[in-house]
Amino acid sequence: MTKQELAAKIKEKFGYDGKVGDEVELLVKREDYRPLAEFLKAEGLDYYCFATATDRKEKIVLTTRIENLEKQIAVHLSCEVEPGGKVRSLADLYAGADWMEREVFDLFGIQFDGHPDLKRILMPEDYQGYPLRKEFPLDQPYQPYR
Amino acid sequence: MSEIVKPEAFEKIADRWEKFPGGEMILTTSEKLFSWARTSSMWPMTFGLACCAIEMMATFASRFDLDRFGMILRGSPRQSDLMIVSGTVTIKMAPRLKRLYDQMPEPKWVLAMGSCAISGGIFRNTYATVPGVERVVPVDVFVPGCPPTPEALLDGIIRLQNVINEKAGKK
Repeated sequence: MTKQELAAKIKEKFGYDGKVGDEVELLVKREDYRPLAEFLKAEGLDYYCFATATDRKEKIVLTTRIENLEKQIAVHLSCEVEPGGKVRSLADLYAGADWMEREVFDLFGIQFDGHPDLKRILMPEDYQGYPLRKEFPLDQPYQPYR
Repeated sequence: MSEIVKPEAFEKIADRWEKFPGGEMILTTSEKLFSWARTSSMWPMTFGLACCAIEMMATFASRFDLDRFGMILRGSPRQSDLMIVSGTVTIKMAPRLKRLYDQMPEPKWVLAMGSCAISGGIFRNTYATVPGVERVVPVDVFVPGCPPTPEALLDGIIRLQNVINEKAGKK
């Protein structure tokens, strides 16, 4: 299976036109995020590389990279979430997603539905706000140390 | 009978130096005597936070050799009297740093090493940095630099010895 064949399969099953470059890039609707991940895992893309997010102010774009390391196929799966919105978690599908989703929750405030232990991972547990959002003020005092 | 050579340290701490047939006697205060002992063997805690710790390790190694000052790294805060804060203090590390400081027995001193420990440095306006370790524990000596050279750290330690001596009223 090549990247082009995978993109064609996704087009046939879900109707998304993936941009095929080094990876297959997909921007999907939120309700298709979890089914697509399940489909990709069934297709043999069993390595959850990372999850990250981009703050576009009115919405946050969640991006997940899922790979097949032997065939060197990677998919960037993106979906748009409103700030504080919910996405179905992939933690029960990919074990590696657990901490990655906690990191995205910690820094961007995206809630992951069905995550086994969704709490902050990098910042202290009593930390206020989501520091990688554009609206996060850097000159605001953080008590008791600032 | 040959004349006894006076040790330099005795001259520094002596308030009075009495001679009498068959011997000599110095009078001093216990504070001065203790500060003499303390400055001669400060035991810092092994506590590296960031890249400044590399310079601190170099200062402890053979080329600069803090052992000349009687300084030996200790692995436990309960055996140390000096904390060298070498690097960026994050808000998650700050409560741990405070706890380690609280575990050290009195008397104890803190040396803030490098821009990050002094003011947060280039990480000052970020979401996770404590802008200056003095907001967490009291600091005796600041050593500027990014990172400070081993010579600068040595200078800071000698200044700390002077601070301890001055507090005891020693010359």
